[in-house]
Amino acid sequence: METLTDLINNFKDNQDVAIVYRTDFRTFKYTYSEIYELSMQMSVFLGDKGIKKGDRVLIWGPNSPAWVVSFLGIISTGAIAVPADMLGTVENTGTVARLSEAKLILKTKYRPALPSTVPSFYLEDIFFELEKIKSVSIPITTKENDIVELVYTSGTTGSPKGVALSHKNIMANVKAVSSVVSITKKDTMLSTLPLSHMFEQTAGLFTPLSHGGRIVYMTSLKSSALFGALAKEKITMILTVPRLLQSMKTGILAKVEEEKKTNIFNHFLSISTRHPWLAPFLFRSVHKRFGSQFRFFVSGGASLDGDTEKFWHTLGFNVLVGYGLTECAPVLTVNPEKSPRIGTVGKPLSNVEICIAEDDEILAKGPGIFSGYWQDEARTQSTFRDGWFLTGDVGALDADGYLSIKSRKKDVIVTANGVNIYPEDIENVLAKNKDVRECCIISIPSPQGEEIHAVIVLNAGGNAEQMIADTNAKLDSAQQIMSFTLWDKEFPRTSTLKIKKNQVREKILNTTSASLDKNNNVSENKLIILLRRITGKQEITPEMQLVKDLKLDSIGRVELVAAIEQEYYFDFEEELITPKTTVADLEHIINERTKGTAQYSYPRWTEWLIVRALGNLWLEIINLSIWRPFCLLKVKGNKTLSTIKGPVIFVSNHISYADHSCIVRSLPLNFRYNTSTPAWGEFFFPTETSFLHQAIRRIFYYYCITTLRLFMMFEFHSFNNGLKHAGLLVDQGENILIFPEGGHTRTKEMLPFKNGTAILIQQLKIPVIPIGLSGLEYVYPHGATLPKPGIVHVNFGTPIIFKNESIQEITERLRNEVEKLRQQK
Amino acid sequence: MDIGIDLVKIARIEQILTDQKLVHKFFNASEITDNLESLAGILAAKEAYMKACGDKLEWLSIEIKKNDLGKPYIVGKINTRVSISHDGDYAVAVVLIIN
Repeated sequence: METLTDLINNFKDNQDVAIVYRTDFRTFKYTYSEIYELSMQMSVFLGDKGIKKGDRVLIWGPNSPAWVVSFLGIISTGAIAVPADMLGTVENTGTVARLSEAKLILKTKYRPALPSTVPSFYLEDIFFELEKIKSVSIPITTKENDIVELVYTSGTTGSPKGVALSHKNIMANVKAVSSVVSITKKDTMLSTLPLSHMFEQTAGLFTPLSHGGRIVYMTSLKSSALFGALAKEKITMILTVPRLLQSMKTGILAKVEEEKKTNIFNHFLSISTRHPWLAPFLFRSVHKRFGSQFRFFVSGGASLDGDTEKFWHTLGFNVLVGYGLTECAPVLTVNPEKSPRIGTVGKPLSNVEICIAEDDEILAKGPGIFSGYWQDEARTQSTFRDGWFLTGDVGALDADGYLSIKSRKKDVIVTANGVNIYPEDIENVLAKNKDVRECCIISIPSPQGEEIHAVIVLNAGGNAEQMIADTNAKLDSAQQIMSFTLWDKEFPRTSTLKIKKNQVREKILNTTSASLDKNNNVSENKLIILLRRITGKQEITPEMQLVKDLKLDSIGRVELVAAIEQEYYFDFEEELITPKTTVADLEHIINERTKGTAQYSYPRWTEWLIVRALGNLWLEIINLSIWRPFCLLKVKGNKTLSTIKGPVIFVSNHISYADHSCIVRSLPLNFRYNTSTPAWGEFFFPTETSFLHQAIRRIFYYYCITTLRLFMMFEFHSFNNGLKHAGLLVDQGENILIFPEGGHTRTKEMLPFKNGTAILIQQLKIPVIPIGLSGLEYVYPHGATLPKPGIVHVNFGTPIIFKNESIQEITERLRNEVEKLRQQK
Repeated sequence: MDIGIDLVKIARIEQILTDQKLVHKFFNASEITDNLESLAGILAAKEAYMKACGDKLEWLSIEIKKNDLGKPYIVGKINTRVSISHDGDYAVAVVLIIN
């Protein structure tokens, strides 16, 4: 395999899973051959849009199968991909589109439109577009020096540089990485970094794909999603940046402290340092969360501090630290899996030569290194000397060939989700403030990893707090200044008058933390920062009411809920914020949640084979038979079910307690025993009632979940949890039967359909089969004591596949279909 | 007859748009576009409708669409009239419910 098109051609007949896509509610899987087919359809789509060999196509969106397919489709047409940072600003991305002269933009709906006349398509709609394309092409033949992509690597200042990478650059890196880090088809990589970065692309996408491994993408990086993926997908490796490792370390230490086990934990750490082989036993609970198959983390993008690296090694986890630059496609060195050396970035890859110049700058040579910046000969020439690429970083090689980095010329700050923050971007905004005489932006360690810290020399009479708040209002969410220090003299500078940030940073870290934290640390309370950002109010005290004092409006309320969910990694219901809620109340609720207060959890034993078998037996003998003498079934339309590959959602009107039995009896056997029904959770778990009443409901609950395959959906709390559980059931092949009226029809008219059904349908993305029931209003109407024998009509409709319809449209269409079907006799 | 009005700062929508989950709390799939002014107008119309009803409703239960002439309306609420406008940094919407 010399080119990426060769790699794509290899996917054709491989039926193994290549990509797993975990959304909030579902898990979608794509095999290699499906990715191949979709990529070929994508290249036809691009051809139809006039894209030819050498044209540039910009991709701006989050990691997803659509991103990968778009990228592979672009390569297959011979066009050049221009991946842009998902969180980049409109200005930046617009500049990249203009400089690369992109002919087409494939972008997410979740970033603003670019001020450009270039045609644009939403990545979220790409698969719907591809469904219309019946013909498929084959990848064009490419040469190894053909350009694959342009990766732009600078902030807003100056003009961004387009690093042009060829097939040869990327494939050389893939091969060299594979020879050090063994990856096989048994490996599953969890993606936590954006695909617009070369580290994620080469090491996280092309390397596993070239060995038949699988890659897991997630729509959320919340820790619940992360650990959900670790528990379900048998992850063997995680490619990441230091901040994620640092914040996971903080999370573990916080948990240890909360459980008052700090002493024993420290004791275990010291035992493990002396006897590393004991680590998996001593830290069993941590290893359990990652699973026994977990092999290692690969850390790149920025320097990993020695403490964090040592911490993970002591816990018994392998962290392979590497080093590279976008210009090198990107890996230059990596620590070997078998003999990593802490504090270094490892040895040069087999096809990379590293040498240290007289001024200690790291120079590199090899087939992975790019040939130049896009249409920028002057910059290209200044980056090479005698055939060596000048990395701009300073380092040293030890006797065994391990490289260590001393300092980086480009002081980029890498956030937890892998976004590069260029200090100069923030400095430019900050410096515009009239109160600022001089400033610089550095990163300092915090419990969550590195955080953005401003160092400011103020003009007389300047108000620092107000100035930081004003500056933050103009910055992206990822660029927010979290703390600051006032500098009372001149900054130390180099001979070329650049601020010596290393010295500034050192000085600040050596200053007593008390004086720093007390006065200037705006990050002392995460919640206050969130509230400041959302409400725009600077003075926030615990007794303030969110609505009355902080003027939190209805939009702000939803924003606050989303921000809390993102920051604290748990689900938070909007209803918890009432007009009377104070800041202190909110903090209390969050603290309670952080501790993990009791929430309804779905029992797993209902899925045990023996429980299912007994439950089905009971269903057949008791639940279905009990209605047989009364309900003479006349079923129409169920023949089409045999042609459908499940799972599906059945949607029916709701007349009486006999509905479930009649519908289940009408289902063919392959649907009958694997159809679950959501039930109104509040009914089974009443709160304001007598103990006896609660106990009776609880017994009934166990009966229903075992024999009727009901699962709970709570209307007022944790509706999301119900959705997630439904998604899980569907992933396991289970069908869902819903009665969207939420209660029995008591007149001739159906009750209005509840929105929850449409939300479920939108999220689960599987075919929906409407069912019309009639006759039960005579056999056993609501409120009747005893049933009467009679004919019951169960009419199945044809499957409906919803795509982008709104909640209203789905609800309306379903209601109409069910209405038509229940009128048919 | 009831009336409701609301004003939305367009910059706020840009902030919302960066968070996929947040977008789906406010907008139905059919309403989502990357045009910030249009999104701000839709949000203002939803809030104005809630004010006209005098009740806090689910954001997703109100769906704003445009007819062939580009005039906005609320899906399924034939007794309502909506007017949206934007200029500079703000979008404004007025909703009238005719009894």
